[in-house]
Amino acid sequence: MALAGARARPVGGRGRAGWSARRAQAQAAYLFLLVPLALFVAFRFAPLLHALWLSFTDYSVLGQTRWVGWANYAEALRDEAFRRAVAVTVAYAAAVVLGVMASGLALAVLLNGVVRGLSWFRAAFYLPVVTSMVVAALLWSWVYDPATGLANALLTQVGLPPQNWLQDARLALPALVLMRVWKGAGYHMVIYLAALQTVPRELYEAASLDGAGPWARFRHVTLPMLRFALLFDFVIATSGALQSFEEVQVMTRGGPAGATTTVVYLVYQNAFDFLRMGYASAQAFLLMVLIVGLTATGVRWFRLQGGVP
Amino acid sequence: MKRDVAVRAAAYFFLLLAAGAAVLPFVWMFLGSFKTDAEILRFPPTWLPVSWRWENYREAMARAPFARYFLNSAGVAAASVAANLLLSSAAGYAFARLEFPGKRVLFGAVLSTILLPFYVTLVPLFLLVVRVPVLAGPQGWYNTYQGLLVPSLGSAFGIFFMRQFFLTLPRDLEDSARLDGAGEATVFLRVALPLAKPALAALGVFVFTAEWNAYLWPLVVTNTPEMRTVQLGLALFRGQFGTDWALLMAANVVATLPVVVVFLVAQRFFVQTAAFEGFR
Repeated sequence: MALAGARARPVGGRGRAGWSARRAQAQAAYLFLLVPLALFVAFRFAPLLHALWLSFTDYSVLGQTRWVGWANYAEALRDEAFRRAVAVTVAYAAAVVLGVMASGLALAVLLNGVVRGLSWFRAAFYLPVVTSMVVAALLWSWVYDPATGLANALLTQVGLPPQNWLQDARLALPALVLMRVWKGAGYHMVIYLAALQTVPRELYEAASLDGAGPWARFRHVTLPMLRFALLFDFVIATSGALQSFEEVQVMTRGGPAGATTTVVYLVYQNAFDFLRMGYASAQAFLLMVLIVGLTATGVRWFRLQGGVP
Repeated sequence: MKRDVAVRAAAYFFLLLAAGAAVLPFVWMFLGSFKTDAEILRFPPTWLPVSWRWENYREAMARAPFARYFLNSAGVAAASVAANLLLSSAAGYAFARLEFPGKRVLFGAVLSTILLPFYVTLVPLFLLVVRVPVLAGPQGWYNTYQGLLVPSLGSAFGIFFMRQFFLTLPRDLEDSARLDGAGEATVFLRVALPLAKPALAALGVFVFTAEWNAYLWPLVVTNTPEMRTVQLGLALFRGQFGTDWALLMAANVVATLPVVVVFLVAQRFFVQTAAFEGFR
């Protein structure tokens, strides 16, 4: 009765049989992991270490490569273009994060009370999310076109003077922010909607019985219950917005006069236009430090505000 | 309760307003794709085309090799989906269910790169692809399909996503299959994988959309029209034909259709992966 014997054997138990079962499991695990982990190491882990090494060299595809120590980092910190790009990126990210979190939360709260048409609304808000950034950027390039665009048409309709949008150094960045909030709001809405659906109805009923109006219920029931979702969303939104590249490359090429040059756009230019790949890598790591620093600061702030776990 | 009715009415009002704002640019794009040049230049602009110019689509498709771009994007996206489903489910299952020495360290390494921004590894990945000459000639995988696929093959996201899913499955079925003498491969392929269909569908939809919409990597790693993807083709179309908005919008509409169709068919899967999307 081999089968009965097998049944009696506790998987992973002690003794010879358990040992061989564990060995079979480990062998299977290594077999399953062999290809995925090899690819992961080759295309993700090793490139990370390589990037770190590059950031300490003057690598530029052509010519000899020298180890330059911290020189790239020091140069970046002195470099006016880099400092400007950091300022632009931080301003852009701050506006985008505020915009998508506020609009995502507002849409989710409104949608959470809706009985009819929920899936239609959700689909409408999510449509910009599934659209590619390139398509969105091209579409909004036309919207912002001074002569033929929708934006100026709407402005003149309400009696305001037309604007140069993407060619105006003051307006280009806000114009990109508006596009990105339009594109991202639906994504953040879905995150809040999922969190809202876990809030027990009784809490709202109890608050209503205590005489709480819609605003008080939002302030004292919804917001505290969404602490974790807000924190999560903040981290996601911040690290995403600080890495903006595509809309800049397609809509403004960093202009006018550097007004929309983000750090990633600068990294891209240094690496592939000027072939300063070592320098570009140092800038990339500085941005990563910035991302980690800003999200960590934000997380700390959230903790101080409301005791996030 | 009159007040509640008023609140609900206000909620619908604002939702309709917001939905209008979300959809309006698409309507503008779609209607614009049928307009004549003369009508595009008219100010104030019209909403509905005076006459519907369907030839915009034929002309847009003829001005650049869009059929080829589509084929490239579809092929790369399909290969990426297939590879990700296969590799991520195997690795995710191993991390969720099997015991082996080194598990914590290996999973820690995978997890540690999940929030790693793609742009950090952009330069080394490019150098790697240019220099796989051992296998592929002097240019390596530069300007090839293999080169286009490289970043998605190294992604940690799928592994993490599938692991999280397998952790939610009950172990009983797997254990009883083991007790019946099934080997680990059989347990994975016959017991665990069939139960993972919803997660595989969600991951597939996610990878397809990400790959179809990718721009930065194709921009860096291709240099001939034969290898361009749809997004890259669109952006270059703008550069070549400037402000020929009607044709550009026609190309935009065509390029957006596949993801919109996938989205409408598989909406719930998008919602499932949304919370994970930030980890891309």
